[in-house]
Amino acid sequence: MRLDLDGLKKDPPESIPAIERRQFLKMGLVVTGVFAGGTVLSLISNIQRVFASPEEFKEKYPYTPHYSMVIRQNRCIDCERCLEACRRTNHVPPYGYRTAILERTIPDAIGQKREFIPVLCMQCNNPPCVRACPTRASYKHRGNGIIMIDSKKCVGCKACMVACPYNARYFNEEKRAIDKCNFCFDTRLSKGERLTACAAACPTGARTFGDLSDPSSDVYRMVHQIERPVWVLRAEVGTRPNVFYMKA
Amino acid sequence: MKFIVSRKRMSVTGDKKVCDEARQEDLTPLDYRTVKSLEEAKKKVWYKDWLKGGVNHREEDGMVVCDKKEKSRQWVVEINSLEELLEFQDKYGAIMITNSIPYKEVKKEITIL
Amino acid sequence: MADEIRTSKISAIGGLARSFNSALFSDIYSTLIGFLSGTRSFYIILSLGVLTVFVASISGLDAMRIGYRHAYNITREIPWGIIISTYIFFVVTSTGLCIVSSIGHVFGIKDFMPIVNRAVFLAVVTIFAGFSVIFFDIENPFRMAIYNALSPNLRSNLWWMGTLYGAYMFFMAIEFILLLLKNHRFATYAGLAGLISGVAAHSNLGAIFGMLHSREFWYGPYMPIYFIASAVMSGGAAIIFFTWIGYKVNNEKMDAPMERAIEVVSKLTAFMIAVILFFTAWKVVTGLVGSPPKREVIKAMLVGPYAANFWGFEIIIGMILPFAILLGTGFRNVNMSFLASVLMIIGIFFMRYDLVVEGQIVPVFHELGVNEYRGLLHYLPSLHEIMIITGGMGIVASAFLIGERVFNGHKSEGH
Repeated sequence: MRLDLDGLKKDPPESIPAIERRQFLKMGLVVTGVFAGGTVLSLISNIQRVFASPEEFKEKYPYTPHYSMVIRQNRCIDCERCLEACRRTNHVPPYGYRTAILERTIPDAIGQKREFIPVLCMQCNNPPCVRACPTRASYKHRGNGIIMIDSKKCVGCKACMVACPYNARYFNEEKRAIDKCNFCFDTRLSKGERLTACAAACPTGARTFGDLSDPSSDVYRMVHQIERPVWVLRAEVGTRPNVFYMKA
Repeated sequence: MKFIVSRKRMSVTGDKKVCDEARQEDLTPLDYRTVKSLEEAKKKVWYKDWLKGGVNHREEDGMVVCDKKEKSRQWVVEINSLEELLEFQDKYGAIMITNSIPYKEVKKEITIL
Repeated sequence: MADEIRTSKISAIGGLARSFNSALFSDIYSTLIGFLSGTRSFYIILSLGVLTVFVASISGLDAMRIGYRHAYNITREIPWGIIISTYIFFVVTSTGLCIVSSIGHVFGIKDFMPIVNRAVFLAVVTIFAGFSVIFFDIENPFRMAIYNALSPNLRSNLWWMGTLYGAYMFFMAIEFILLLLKNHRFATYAGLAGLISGVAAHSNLGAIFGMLHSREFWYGPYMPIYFIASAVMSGGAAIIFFTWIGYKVNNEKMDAPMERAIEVVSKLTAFMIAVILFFTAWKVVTGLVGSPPKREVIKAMLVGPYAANFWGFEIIIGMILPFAILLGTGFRNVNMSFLASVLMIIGIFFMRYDLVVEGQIVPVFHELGVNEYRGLLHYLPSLHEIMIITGGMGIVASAFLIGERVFNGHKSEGH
């Protein structure tokens, strides 16, 4: 990318030609001013726009690896191979689920009228379930930020189920404990696999799994671009999820 | 005439002297039960306790009553004339005269507000 | 003019009071009361109470055997049902009994003294009933005992609530024993410890709901405050209710200090009804302009599936009628205060049920507009759940009746 900085003379950012400004935006930077005859260019990062709260950006990513998933919503075709893979990998009983695909119909939409929204545990940075648990059976893994369950400590009070803004939890009778998505940590990640079962099974690439603390990863690049909007579900709750949504 | 004397705000331990004139006395509580006759009382669930707990079982005012064996220690003042009562009121300010818990010896209570 | 209106109002309710004692009622009334204290009948009622506890235990064990998912109508979306709401009902009552009795016993206000012993006894009984009920809702109750101590989460309101209520039950039991031993000095200390732990525990119970930021209907500082205020209201109602029945069981004549105690408790209760009405009004009004999920709940409450519960039980039976009765009789008619307390206890039971269930009826993904969660969720208790909560009531009823016999009408010092 080439920028003609010498051509910039005046102070107000409005004076920067639109085409140049767009180039900056693609780099994730916002032009706030041009000073001293164009020799000083003021730029701030634009990344925080896509996060649930500004604090998250400041804290950057507290975990390494900082596991995350980006769901490209428009790619989901509801084939449910992810659900099947999840059930098989994590021994999810028929009465429960760790991940689901929701369906939204918009009758007055032009063209396609249906879309699918895969949901799972959002592995929040500010998890209400962990605060609710009386015995620390639910906890956030110090290393990778996954919300885990220590089954033997679970008393089954179901407070975390009520606390969860994403309906991600159910009581597993075989484990006698709450069960939920843990990004296949015990069944795949800890055994050297790079992807969760659902991400590996997805034929359309709707689910991208990766490490948000690694700038070369796909998830990092998807979250840190600004050409297409990235959002999280129920941002108003302030849970700061690590599962992001976009259409691409 | 004897009055039980108390204060609106009580010492919860109940051992503090309520006023200068007060002295402690063991009083006999009356145990009234709202049945008409002793016959009827015999059928009741409380009858044995009531019988054992008191003496002089009798019918009175359409109820049955007995004097409890277990005495109750209360602060009592003796006031025998209206003048004495007014003097007491002058000394302690607002007072309230009410029916007390029924005792054999005392029926009224003075509460110093 | 205003006086005339007031007098006519009072006489209208006074008329109601008279008819409560008049020919039509008096037969049923005296039969009922006679029944309550008659030897054989007393034991029949007691056995009925014990029987419900027995049936409830069987139901509870059966539910454990087949799994709560099958036995109860709770779901992934509505994990807390009538068992939780009944637990709250019992502990609200217990905390209320503790608070109201502490006015007499801890703070030494003489008017409240006559009700203290019975109230403290019932506080222990109702909290025990609450624990017994919730025992059958927690999937692994025995783990709770272990990991509550070994792995506490100090940020969890649930942990604080459980731990503080444990301490509360202990202090209240100690207080009752000391009252029986007539050791009033130490009973007062135990009462104060019970009061502090009870209020802390109960506001934490409110905070369990108030700190769930994903549930709009509950979230905010309202819940802990509301819980304490409604505890005093419930406690007042429970004291009037049980004292009145206690006197009927023992056929005792209510003496002047006791009548005065019922009068002041009635006044306090009426005042608390007004407070809760005020709270409820503002909860509704603020909810109407709140976020969409909250508006959905308020709509369900006012005109939707919960309207009958809200207007019929919570507002009219639980608050407006008792308030009118108490005010209309000038707090001095013990029988009418009892009637008000019966209505209140029924209404308050529904208040707790609605509070717990309504908070969960709007699906978390409601606003996402997905087909799965367009409408409101539904919950109705199953037979197992109903049996278990009936057992909780059976515990209170039997323990109360046994208490009246064993402790001989809960006579306290100076009473």
